[in-house]
Amino acid sequence: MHFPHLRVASAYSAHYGVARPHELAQVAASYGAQVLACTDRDGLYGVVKHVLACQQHGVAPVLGVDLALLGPVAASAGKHTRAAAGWQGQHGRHGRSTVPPARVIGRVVVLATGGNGGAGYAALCRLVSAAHRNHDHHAARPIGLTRDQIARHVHRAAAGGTPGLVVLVGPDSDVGSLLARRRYRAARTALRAWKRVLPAGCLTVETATHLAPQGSTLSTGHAVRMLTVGREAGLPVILTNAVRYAHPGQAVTADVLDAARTLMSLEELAGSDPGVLQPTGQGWLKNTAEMTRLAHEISAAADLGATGAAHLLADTYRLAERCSQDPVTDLRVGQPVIPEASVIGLTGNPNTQLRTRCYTGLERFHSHENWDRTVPGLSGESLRSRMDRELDVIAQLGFAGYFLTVSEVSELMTQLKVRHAARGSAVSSLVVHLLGISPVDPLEYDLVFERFLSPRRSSLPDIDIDMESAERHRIYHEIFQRFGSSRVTLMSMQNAYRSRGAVRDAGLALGLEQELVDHIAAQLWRVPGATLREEIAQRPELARLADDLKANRQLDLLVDLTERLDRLPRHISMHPCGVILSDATLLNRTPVQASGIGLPMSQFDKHDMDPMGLIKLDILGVRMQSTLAYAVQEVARMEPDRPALDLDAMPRDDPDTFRLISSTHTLGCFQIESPGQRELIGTMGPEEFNDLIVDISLFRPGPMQASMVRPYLNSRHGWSTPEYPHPDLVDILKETRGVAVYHEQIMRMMDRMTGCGLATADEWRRRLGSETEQRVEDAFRSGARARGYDAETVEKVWDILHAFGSFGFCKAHGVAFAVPTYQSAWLKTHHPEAFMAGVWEHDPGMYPARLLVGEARRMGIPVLGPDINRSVDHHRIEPVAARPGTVESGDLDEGIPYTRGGSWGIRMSLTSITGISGAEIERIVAGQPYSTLTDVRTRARPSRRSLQRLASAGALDSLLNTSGARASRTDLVTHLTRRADQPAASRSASAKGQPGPGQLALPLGDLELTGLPPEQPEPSTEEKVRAELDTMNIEVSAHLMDGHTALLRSYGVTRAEDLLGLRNGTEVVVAGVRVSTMTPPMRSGKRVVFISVDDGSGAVDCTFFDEAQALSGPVLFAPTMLLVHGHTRRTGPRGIGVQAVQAWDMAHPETLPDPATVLGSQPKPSRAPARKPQVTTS
Amino acid sequence: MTVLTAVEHTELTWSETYDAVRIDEGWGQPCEVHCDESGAPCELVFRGRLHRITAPPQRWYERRRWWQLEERVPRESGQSVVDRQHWRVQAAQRGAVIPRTLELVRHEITGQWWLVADQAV
Repeated sequence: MHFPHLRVASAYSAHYGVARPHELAQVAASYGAQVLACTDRDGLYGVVKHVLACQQHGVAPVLGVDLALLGPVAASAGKHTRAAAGWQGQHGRHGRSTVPPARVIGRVVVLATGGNGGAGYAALCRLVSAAHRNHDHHAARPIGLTRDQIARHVHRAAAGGTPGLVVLVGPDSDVGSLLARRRYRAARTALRAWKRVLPAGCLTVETATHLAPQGSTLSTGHAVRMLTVGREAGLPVILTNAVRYAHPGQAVTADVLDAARTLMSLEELAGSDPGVLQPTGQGWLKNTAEMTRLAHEISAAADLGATGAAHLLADTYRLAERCSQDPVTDLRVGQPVIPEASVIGLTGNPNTQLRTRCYTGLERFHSHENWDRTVPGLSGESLRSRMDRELDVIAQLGFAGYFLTVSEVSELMTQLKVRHAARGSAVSSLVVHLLGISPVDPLEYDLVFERFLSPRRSSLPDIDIDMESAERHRIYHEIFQRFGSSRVTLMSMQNAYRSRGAVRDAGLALGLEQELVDHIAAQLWRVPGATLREEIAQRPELARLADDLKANRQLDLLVDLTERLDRLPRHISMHPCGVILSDATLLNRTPVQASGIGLPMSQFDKHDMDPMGLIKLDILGVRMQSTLAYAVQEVARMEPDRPALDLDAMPRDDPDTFRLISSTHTLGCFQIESPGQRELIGTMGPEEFNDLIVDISLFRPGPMQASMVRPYLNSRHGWSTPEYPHPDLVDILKETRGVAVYHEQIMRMMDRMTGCGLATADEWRRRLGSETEQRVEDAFRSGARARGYDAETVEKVWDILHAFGSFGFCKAHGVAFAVPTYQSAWLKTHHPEAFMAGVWEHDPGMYPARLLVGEARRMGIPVLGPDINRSVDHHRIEPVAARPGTVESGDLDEGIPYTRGGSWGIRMSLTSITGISGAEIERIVAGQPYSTLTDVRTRARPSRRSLQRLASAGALDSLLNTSGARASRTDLVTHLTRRADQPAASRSASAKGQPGPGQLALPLGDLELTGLPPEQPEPSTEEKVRAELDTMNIEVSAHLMDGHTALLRSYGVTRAEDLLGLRNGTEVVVAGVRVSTMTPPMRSGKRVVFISVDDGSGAVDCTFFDEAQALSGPVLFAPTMLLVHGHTRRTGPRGIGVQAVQAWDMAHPETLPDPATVLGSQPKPSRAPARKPQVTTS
Repeated sequence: MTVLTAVEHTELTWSETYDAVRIDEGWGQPCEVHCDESGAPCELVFRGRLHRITAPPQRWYERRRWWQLEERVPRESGQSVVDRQHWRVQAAQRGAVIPRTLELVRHEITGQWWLVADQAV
């Protein structure tokens, strides 16, 4: 018999366990163990991974939890102790009766018994959820349970006749702690109390020795006392090794984790008593021989001899048997569970119901079409025939209930008028579209159903839903309400140690100086922590650090410790997108704890979902959806008589929209606003929706991308004719000019040439680029030859398929993204004020707010600064008197959309001003309008500092003007600054002159403002801009660069909007505020830096190759305002950038070159055209 | 110092420089110890005489301040530097009636035995 370890903490016991479940399972299996437990602290975080690892290694899993045992705080304990124990006073929150305060008096392990159809596991889940519940409501109360609470759960679990839970009272329990201090009588009493409250067969004593010195916890002597006391009480006693790691070498990591958990250094901990640190390093997964030896040592020391040891081991094996879980019958691994029929509104056969709902969808979305007419395109299907086919597959796989569940969630969002859309391959399904989950008709875009679902794929497909980011939490609450909190929970995610955090905690453990540690952490934050030493040796920027390591032993240790901590789980948090749906047995299958947003979350992460049969819905908050919703609402608010805009239903073929897109003035638009995208668009010049799909699909990193883009563009511009490998494939490749871009095209090509069917084709597609590609090649070749294709064609096509490999893009993804791209561009074209207000409000893109404000200004939309009376807590359109300007509305090719010619401006929100609290803003808005400054003070009660900032940002100018005061804004700001700077004590005196609450101010006008002495002039534009940047980080009055016109003129700087008129290779100087810096990975391996600068008339995209980087030096990354000398580089009819020679920092005029020397150089011989900058997602 | 013959009794070899023995921890003197298959002492040489271990020896471990003592603690290491092995043995030479109580320490990496205390004194 091989020893079964029944107490094992995995790495998922954060800051405690060291080894991952798979490592533990491997070690256990290597010494022949047949059973292995996972008993993590405070939760079942590692349980699923443990079960899977055990399955892999042929070991039976035992599941349990290591919980804190709570006891009462002594009545005589002081106020602080009681507060620390969670004492809430007379009434707890929500008026519930008080939860008595508690403190941790030890720890116990509770195991679930197995072989009972999951009853033990269910009881374990509920026990763990209960341990968190009180803590979730009263944060000061520790996570854990009292003995009586545990007993209640054990009794409930034993109600069926056999125990569902077994409690292990061990060396760190209340009994164990008393025995460590040799308080035998108290220990026996405590053990008797346990025996009294628990049903028979549910209590076991645990003994363990880490061979600690005499007198310590976990010494052999301590173990002897546990054994003796247990035997005396007539209880079974088992042997464990209280395992925290897989092998002895990991003991060091356990020490470091203890230091990190307690926020103390190892030196401090080593000195403290009784000590947090493990007394020895013996807590690893010892093999049978070692454990048998320990059993004998304990037994010998207890004078129980060899029989004692045998008895101990026998009890251990017996408990292991009782608690072995069967993954299939106990845990139902791999069997998905959907909500009950009644809950999802199911009244009969789910397939029939699904069909009914699809017909409703046909009525709703396609009422004017002939459902039996074959839709033109590659599918050759009609709406009805496609629907029938999909429903058949869904019925075959038994997934109707799942689709209905997702449909319910989508319906919920629709009823609440929240924008949402499916993303990913789900968009390929007509059923998904008809259920209202996706606005895309897959037949319209030749999407292939098998890319999403086919009988050959037996696992539940993922249906991910994008929704308005601002409404996400509200929707979560609604889902909970709709399905019931016993069927829904949020998903968690594990946050692991990464370099920076690991360095910090390792440094803390070693007692290194904070500054030194921070300094090293800052250098290492982008370096992978697992191979730190190697990286430090290789990276040139870390050379200095490498030298320091040689000189300093502690730094050397620091690196070792950091590597040890790397990627260990640190804490769980709510997954931002995951919602788990199930039937009412949910809480029997997963424990839950607080998520932080008032809803519970599962302790399981996304990898645990499938094994545990939990259905996860990915609901992603997308800011662009909120932006679109916001814009639509603004339009409705300004034009209430107009029918509401239905973005999803409108045709996607507006030529004006494509003209604006092609102008490359796409700031704020979804997906197409980055410098790289703007260059591609400028080159391609999209004219129809399909072009957008291609654009998004091509804009991907990957070696294939280059060989897709160039031929496509050449062909599109007519510089080359598209090449088709065979006439049979023309209709498949036509839309991308002969270039295979989409997964769907690959699938269709395979099917067309071999007749394999699209489902098989999808399988083959997945294998391309993997080790099993050869099989695909063989099948393809033989199938194609059998169909009569000649060798040359087969070779050519296989080359394409092989090169395609695992690259290429799923067209359904592309379509899903192209829709909001089009919608955002359409809104920008036809309702630019509303759109920009939405962009400012929800900040969906990559650029800073000031650039988006500048974009509005560029388009001739008046930017109205925050105003005390006219601003609210969001940005909104405000009608103004249009001023004659030079910006002509509708000049689409210049990137000017159909504005209201300046008669609609956007009033900035009060929230733009930093330093003012949300509560203050609420009060200000509630009390509008204000007639005097005193009025503002009395009714809105802003702090003095906030009032000063309001004035500084210009929000009080209107009060100044209406009061007729002669003072300037500068005077007001000075006055308010003086008041704000006054120390608090002297303030009450000056408050006397205010009207009290309930009193009206006398209608004498604004005495305070008129009384201000007019000493200083109004601020200059430059001063205003500076103040605006100070208070809002946004310029309102003018662009930041406007203050430098003289300087720019001296260099002959070209404005962004004028670049397009220049020939390729023209020497220019440009300048602007840096808005983006990118260093994407390049195929050549050399670094290229892309910097975009904004000068108020547009953005200029500058490219810096090696020489330019060397010349510019540190200017590349830090400074905000740059002067750049270079040559224009045309990429297409609307695409132009600058290949830089050198850049300078405008904030340091002393470093700027002599204007006379700059212009006059020749362009460098052109290099190979730069690859389109590839956006690295951060 | 005499030749460290105890090294020959163990399988371990003097591998890396950081195995250097620290006298400043007050370890007393090196000692020759013979062990059984489980690694427990069964004989030792004390004051030049062979002693038998007369009762099952007691073993325990004590912590080390490895963060002060070690140069490196690489992650791949299978060795624990957190604790060191101690034994308390009853040892009697041939003909003796009363065994001495001796405390031994075994270096965690080299396996070198040290006599730490002699409680008969």
